[in-house]
Amino acid sequence: MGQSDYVMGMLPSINLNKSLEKDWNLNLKLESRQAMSEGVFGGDSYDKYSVLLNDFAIMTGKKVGLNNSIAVGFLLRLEDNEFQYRTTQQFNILKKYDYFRLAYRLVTDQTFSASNFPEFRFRKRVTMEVPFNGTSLDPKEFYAKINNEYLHSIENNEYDLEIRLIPMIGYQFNKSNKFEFGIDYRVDSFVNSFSSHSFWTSLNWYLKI
Amino acid sequence: MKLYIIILFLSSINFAFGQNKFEKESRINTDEVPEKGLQFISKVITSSKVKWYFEQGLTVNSYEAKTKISNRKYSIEFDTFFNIQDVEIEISQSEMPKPTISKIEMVLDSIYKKHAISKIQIQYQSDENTLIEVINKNSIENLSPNVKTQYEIIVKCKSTGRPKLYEFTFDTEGKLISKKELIFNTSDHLEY
Repeated sequence: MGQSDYVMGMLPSINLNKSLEKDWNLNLKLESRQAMSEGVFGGDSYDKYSVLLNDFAIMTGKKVGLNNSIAVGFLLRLEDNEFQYRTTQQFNILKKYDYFRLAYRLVTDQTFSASNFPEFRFRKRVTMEVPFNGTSLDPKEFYAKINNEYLHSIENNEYDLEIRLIPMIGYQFNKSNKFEFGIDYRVDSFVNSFSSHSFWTSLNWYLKI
Repeated sequence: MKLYIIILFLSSINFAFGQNKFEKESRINTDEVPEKGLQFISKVITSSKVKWYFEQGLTVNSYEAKTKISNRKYSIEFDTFFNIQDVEIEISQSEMPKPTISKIEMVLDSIYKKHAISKIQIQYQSDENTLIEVINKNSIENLSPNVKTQYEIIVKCKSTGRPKLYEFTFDTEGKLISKKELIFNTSDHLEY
């Protein structure tokens, strides 16, 4: 039986959203992944702060139905002093129920860099939002949000699966300003080798401009 | 004269129907509900669980008790002094009188290329004792003539562009009384 490694750290992000004419919108996202501690379960571990990567992403989306939207985007990642480039296409379905909302997201993306093989991914995510007070999310209200995502990837003919589970608590200050705090848990590499686990303290700030 | 009537008709449509629906609904605990509200509920509901809400509209605030009686969803609305305002019961399309739903379909056909009804509530307005009878009867038929009855209908509509969701109010004859577009909450944090 093999060992599993882990990394723990912070994952702060800022999302700037802008509504455009004719149901179009624009999303700018800045995210930084910062490690605090790494190790092997049942083995050695060490605490060291390091910035693993920084992302800058831009996406543009359009509502195409009552509950559906599509979006395409581009991400620039700086990791190990090297840039990676990712193109993204996504489709969202949003459903409102009596006491919560469910969002389904399907994403395909393609990542390119000078020193790695191209990586192609297919992602499926379901998100549940439950307001703490009432049937829909209002200003000055807390809410719970949970993400569950499956990421299938192919790189140099090698398949991998990553699973993410992200429970969060959010607060909507007003219709244009939300803040979320939670744990972003990810596990990958368990298809072809020993599993890798990561635990990020996730801090998301959503601003509508 | 004919032109004047058309202009008057169009401007009245814009005034009555060109609105959006904004509501802030907050859950409140039963112990925050005054005795008057609890007394009304105790006369009509004995065992079911009741959820209480405070609704803030653009001009009017109200309280609402939501419950299920014999698998039917009930919303009982009060003003801020806990005077009963109306009772709404969720029903299916097949429970509506055929002439009424046919007339409503005709009205919707005349406005939109496509439409699909997603929710129907029958709304009763009357004095307190009559509304208690309505709830205790747990039936949507054979009501006394002093009950004002309307239908609140949520409809997905499409004419040009993408579909939109509206809340329509019709009377029992299928005459359109009001139309409000339902505005969705932002969903950036669920999509990106």
